[in-house]
Amino acid sequence: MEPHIFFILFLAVVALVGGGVVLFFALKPKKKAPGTISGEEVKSYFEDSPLQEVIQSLKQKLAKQYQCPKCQGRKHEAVRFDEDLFEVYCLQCGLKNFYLVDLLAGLKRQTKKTKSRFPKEWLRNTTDVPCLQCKNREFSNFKMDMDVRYKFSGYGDTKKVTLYLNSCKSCGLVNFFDRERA
Amino acid sequence: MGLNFTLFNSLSENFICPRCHKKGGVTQFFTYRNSENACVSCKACGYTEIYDYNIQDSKYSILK
Repeated sequence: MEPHIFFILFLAVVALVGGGVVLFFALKPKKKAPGTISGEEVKSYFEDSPLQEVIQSLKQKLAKQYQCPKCQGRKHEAVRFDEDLFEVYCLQCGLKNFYLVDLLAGLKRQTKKTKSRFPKEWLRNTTDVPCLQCKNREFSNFKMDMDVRYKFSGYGDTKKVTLYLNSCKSCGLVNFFDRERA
Repeated sequence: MGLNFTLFNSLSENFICPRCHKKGGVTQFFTYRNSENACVSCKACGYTEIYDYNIQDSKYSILK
């Protein structure tokens, strides 16, 4: 074999092996340093997890402190009513209680609901009564619009009603008041 | 669905307001978000309790 042909073949073999090695390392998945997270993981954590985690932790908090004011039962089911309220109903007697999520979590920020206050004088004889659950005497008054459907003997009528509520500043338990009688 | 008006009367008559401790309430039936509810309002102070209608109805049937 001519020496220059041998040299060319040798170079071709070296180039093939070198290219293969470079290609192998380029395609190999990179190992993360321990304790670091990728951009995608960070994004999914902040976009998905916190809300679920917050709801879960509030449900755990309720599981510890909830006792039905009517039958003293502890079995309950908690569902998210809207962005501010948790609906909790007693599985024993069916009494529905609502909790203002912020106050339940111990936060003091003002939400859209707690900003829509109503005159305190509207609730006669009620402001001095302590919270039925934790006996705290500080309340946050607010009003809320809700679409309800009343039924009387087969006659159905949907209307928007304004509910007048006060929520215990300590545990978040919401009390409902009928404006006509309050 | 037939409403149990005896249950409504029973809820109104036996209602003792946990806030003002006065007796007597007014019961209404309403639905929201596919849940059926009975609410009892205190005649004196307006404090309102909301009950899941189906749980109350089954409880009343057992008692009867």
